[in-house]
Amino acid sequence: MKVERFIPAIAILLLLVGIFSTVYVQSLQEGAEGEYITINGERLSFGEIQRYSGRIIKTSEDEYSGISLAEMINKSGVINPDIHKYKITGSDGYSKTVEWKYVKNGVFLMEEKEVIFSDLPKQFWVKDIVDIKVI
Amino acid sequence: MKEMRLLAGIVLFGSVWGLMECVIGDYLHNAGLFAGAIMTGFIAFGLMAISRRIYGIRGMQLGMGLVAGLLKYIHPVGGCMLCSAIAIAFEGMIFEMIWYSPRMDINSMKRIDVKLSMGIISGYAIYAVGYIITQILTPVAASAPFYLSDLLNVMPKILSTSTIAGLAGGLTIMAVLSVPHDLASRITGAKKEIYYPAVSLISVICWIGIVILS
Repeated sequence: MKVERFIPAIAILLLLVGIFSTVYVQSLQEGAEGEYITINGERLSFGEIQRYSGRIIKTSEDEYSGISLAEMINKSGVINPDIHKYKITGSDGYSKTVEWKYVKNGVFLMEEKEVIFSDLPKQFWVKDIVDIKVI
Repeated sequence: MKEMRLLAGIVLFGSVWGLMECVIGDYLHNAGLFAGAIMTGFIAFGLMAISRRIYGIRGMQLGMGLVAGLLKYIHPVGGCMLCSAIAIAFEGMIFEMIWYSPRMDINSMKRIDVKLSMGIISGYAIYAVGYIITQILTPVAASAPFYLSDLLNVMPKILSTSTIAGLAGGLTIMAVLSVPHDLASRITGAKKEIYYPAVSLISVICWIGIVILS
């Protein structure tokens, strides 16, 4: 059977792709280690963020108390925040782009360094965030 | 009558898969382990492979995925339930595509390297493609925005975690193929007085388990 000759080669290729991707993701995570988040090009330390006002949001499952995401963005000096989109990126490269209407219902959990939204599926919750880019 | 046996088998394996996703999947998720990759490589692929070995009928695993996805959706605990339900439902379809060709008969593969490789390919592809599909369809289903750049950014992470699913798939297929083939034919050939009550009972226990856990 001819096809059988290619099957092990495909499996090895997939594993190699997986290994190289793992090395790449690890290098991203190592480069992103730090006690700050970059918002709109400005570095904000966690100590600084902790002083911002907190808020509670309710999801379909639970209640979460954290720092207002909208305030974090406002304090970074974004003008007319409602006309922009915000690309939130985690240390592993995972990113989600959200509009201002969702940002207003988002909080940043200090302990987990995670952004969560009350009106978006969990897929939009980004862990270990390192950067929020204004688009 | 054969169709009824097959339908009962779809419900049975889909229900077991759904229950395991709710119990083991949620446990792994809460423990911070690679829940999706482990569940896909061991449980999802394992159940689909063993059901293909027992019944030997294409299309069955598509139905199993739909049943398991529906059960996961009605169990709103753990990670992203919408994402998981979509991914599970599509995992069955991806399995069918990989194992569609008659040349890919799970019961007639002889060479050990081919068996192992097919397990790795299946685990890797089912997880990676399922993950990509859920990244696209979850925002659509939730009326939330989807951006291609977000998908491209997450691709290294998807390709990386799929390695775990691939390695798990390799181990799983070896375990599945170690089940004697005559055991499989004994299950499908069981008397209807035993087959249907047993299948119904196990399925109902799975549904009750999922409802209790919710």
